[in-house]
Amino acid sequence: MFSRAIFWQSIKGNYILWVICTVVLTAMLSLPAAFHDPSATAAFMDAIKDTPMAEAAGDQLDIFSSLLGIMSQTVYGFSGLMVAMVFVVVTANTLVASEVDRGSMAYTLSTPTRRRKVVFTKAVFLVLAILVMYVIAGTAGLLTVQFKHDAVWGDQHTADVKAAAKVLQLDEETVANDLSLIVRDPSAFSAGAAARGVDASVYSTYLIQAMARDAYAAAADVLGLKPDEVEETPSLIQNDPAALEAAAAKMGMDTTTLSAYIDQLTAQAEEQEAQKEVMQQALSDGLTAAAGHLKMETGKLMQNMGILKTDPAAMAVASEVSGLDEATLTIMIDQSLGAMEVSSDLGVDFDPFAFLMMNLGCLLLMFAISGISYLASCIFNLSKHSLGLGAGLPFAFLILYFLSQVNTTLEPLKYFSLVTLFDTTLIINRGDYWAQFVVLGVVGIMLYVFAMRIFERKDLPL
Amino acid sequence: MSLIEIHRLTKDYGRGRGIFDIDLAVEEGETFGFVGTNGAGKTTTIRHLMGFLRSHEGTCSIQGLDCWTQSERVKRLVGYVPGEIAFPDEPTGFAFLERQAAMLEHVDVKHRDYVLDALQLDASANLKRMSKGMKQKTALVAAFMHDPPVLILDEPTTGLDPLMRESFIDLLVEERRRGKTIFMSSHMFNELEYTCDRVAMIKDGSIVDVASTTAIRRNRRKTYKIEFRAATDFTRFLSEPFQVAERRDSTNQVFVNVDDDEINRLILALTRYRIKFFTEIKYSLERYFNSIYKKEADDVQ
Repeated sequence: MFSRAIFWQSIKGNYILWVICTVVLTAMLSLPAAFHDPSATAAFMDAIKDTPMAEAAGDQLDIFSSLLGIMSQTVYGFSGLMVAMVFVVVTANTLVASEVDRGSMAYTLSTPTRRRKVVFTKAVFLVLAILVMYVIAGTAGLLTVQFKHDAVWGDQHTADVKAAAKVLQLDEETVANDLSLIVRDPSAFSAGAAARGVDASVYSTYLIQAMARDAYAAAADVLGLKPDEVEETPSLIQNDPAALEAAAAKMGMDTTTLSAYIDQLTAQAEEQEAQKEVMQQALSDGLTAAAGHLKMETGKLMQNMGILKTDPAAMAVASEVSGLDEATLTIMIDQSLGAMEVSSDLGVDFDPFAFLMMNLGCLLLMFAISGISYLASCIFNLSKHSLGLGAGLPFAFLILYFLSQVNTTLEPLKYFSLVTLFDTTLIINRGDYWAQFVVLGVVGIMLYVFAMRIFERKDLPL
Repeated sequence: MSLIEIHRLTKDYGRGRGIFDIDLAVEEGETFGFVGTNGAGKTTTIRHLMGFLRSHEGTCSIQGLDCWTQSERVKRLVGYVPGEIAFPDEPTGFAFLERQAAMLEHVDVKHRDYVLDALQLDASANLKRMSKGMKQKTALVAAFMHDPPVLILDEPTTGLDPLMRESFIDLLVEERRRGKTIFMSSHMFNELEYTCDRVAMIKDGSIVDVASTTAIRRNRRKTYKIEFRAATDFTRFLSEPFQVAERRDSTNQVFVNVDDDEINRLILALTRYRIKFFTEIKYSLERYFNSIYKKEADDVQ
């Protein structure tokens, strides 16, 4: 069934395009990972959080903010699929149809080699070439994420946790699980603030927010809900003793204190909600004015609000225009900066499992796509016909899929594209995508089997 | 049983194209020629022998092995030169030959070098920049190098210059002496006449006739062309009791068919005439097939 000689010939004949495509995919995966700056992204996201733009983007916003989300738009999106498809389409055609068209297949088949062996070996080559391509690109991406962001293996801990753990002489895991340890120890606190590169007031706001984040997550875990849902209705925690306990541990409180705290939060929530918009508007006005005073762009100042705290003149301008006193302004700025720090923790949040599944899904999609090209290559004796179907259909799928993403009118087009079965958003959100994977795998296998059977039986003009 | 057997082989491509009811048998050790114009069906027949085409009807086999179902085993016996040369992507002739050797079971380097030498081929040349003749030689070496008992050659001399053609024919004769069975096609009669034991002619997909070249060479009935100096001699000669095949009054020429036994009688008769020249028209394969053509055409009328 397998011929080493033919496999070797296939490598020799097709390695150049393979190397090019592998290098491109590897670069597409590793470079954004290497230069990914989670705090910058978080700052940007924070800046547009309450704007209509963010509302319009909806769920898509998360996609752009996380590293995996960015990858899903590049390597596992239009451009990356395009690169892989170019390799698949060209190579599938070269392997069979072009050899038949040119007539050089005659020399292979005039030796005692079964057609099945020829077509099977070449299919193995094509599938392995795609597999190795993604293994190389994926591994490079994973290594980059690991070395640059330390975000793949083990629980990655932020710089402040590491610094504080050193001061506290505890292991990082313990400190990360209970941030209140940092709050209680002044020297650990200052080490943490220094490691994070923020001042004490911002750091304490950050710690409070981070602890709340962890508490919601812990409670949500117990309740079997999403952290967002718990944050929305904190009273859910009070109704479940186990959840309350888990959350209390994260906050460094006992359960009664936490319960009282939650009551307070709930009470404040309504009041704050009403004020929020007014306050935000005031802050925004103040910042705009301060930016004018500082002769810098407003957007830039929004990303670096810390500047105001160090520039009393600018602060005075902001206070005057916004109508808020400087203390209130400082608190709001600290809150904002703290929130940014919290989101920047999220930015490097990298889900290795989702990443692996993304690669697996992409691989299965390419397997199915290559099945189409290979089938076309085995059916037709002329390269132009083989390419017509074997390249035309895959690229049509790609284009149909991305057209279906443009707006709701075009959305039904997705039902005509194989690419739809590779749903990166679903993979990132850990949805249920196994059925799609199975379909892609089965489609691929069927196409390859069909291709081989056809080639075994057809007339060859050699 | 014959080594190569083609039985009622039919491949109908529609509109009269294809091959129809081909029946051929090639004996072991025989050199068999296959002649016909372009598009007559030579290559189609050969593709069936190589298992590239599946017949609509009929079968063909080599050494009892079916050419379609047992194609892999058939190819252990066969060296093949395709009608069109299109090499795989390899840098040099040697690289190509090595690629082929890797897929053939056993290639004796000594024999390969012998074939290279016989065809005076420098296989280290760039495969893509080779001249047509060099490419053809490379294809020939690829077919001959593993010393297969059967050689199937589709127009093997295309692209070879006259001198190379000689060397190639020498090589073929040597292979025949060593007991090879050779099946080769050509559109040139004279090429097959000197190398083949028998020649089949195919026209519009059907076998017209199979002729033995030795029988043709040993044909005892010869045709002579005579031109007389004067018209009087010409007309006087016509009354002689010889079988006149053709007369050309304007040039005073006659063509007479004479058995070898009667040649003395003809020469004696000619002494009584003033002749300009006297020449034997060689009885060739081409003439043989042409006469069959003519006969067929006459029959149709």
